[in-house]
Amino acid sequence: MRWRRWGVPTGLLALVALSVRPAGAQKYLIGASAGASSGVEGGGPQGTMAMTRTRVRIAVDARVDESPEDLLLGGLDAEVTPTSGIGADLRYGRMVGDRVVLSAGILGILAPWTLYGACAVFEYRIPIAQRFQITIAPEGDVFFLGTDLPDGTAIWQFRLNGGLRADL
Amino acid sequence: MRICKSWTSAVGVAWGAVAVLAAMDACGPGWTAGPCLRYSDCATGYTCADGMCEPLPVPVPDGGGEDGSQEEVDTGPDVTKADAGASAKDASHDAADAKGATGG
Repeated sequence: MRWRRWGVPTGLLALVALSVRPAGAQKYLIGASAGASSGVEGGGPQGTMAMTRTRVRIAVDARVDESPEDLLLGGLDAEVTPTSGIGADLRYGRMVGDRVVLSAGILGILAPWTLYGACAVFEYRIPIAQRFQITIAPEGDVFFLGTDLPDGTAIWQFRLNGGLRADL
Repeated sequence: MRICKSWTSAVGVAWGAVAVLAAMDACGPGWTAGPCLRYSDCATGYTCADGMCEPLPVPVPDGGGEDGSQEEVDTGPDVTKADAGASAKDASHDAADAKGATGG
C-alpha cells in the first residue's frame, strides 16, 4: 500500500507540472547561423604571434519576444586547418539596435586536446532577405586552461568571423 | 522553394569562405621546428617548450644509455666481476700455498 501513500501525491505533482504551459503571449525566437573565422593569435613566454587556426562554427541563438534584447547563444566549433579539433561555446548576448549583437561567454576545444577560455564577440548583421543576414563578427578569445597549453601559457586570439544567419 | 534556394546559396557562400580561409592557412609557415603556442602546434615527435617546437627526447632502450641509473646498473656486474676476480685470486693463492706446503 506504499504506492498509494506516495503514488497519489507524485501523480498530482506530475499532472500539475505537465499542465504548466508558457504564457500565451510569450514566444521563442530562434535563429541559426554558420560561419568561419580566422585571425591572429599570440601569447606564450616569447610573445609569439601567428595566424590562428581556421574555425568553423554552427550555432543557434534563442530569445523570448518579451525580452528580445537578451539572447542565449550556443555553438559547435571545429578547427579545420592546419590541425583539426572540435569544441563548443555558450554565450550571453545583448542586442544593440537591430543589427548589432554584443555577446560574451565561455569557449572550449574538447577533442583531441582540450583548451578552455572565454570569448567576447561584436556581431554586425547585414540583412540580405526577409529572414537572412550576413554576419561579420570580430571576436576576441582568451584560453588559459587545457591539456594543449604548455605550463604558464595563456593564448589570446583576435578573429574575424564571417557567415550567414537565418531566423527560423 | 525560395527558402531552399536561399539555403543553397548560404551553404555555398559558407563553404567558399572556409575554402579561402583554409587556403590561407595552408600557405602559412610550417610549425614543425618553429614557434608554438600549443602542444598540438608541433608535429609528431616534437613538443612545445618555451614557445618553440623541440624534438622529444629519444627513448633509451633497456641495456644501454648514459644516465646515472644505467651506470648504477652497470656497476653491479663490475662488482661481481671484481668479486669473481678476487675469488679467483684467492683460489690461486690457496693453490700456491698448497704447492709450497707440498714442495717444502
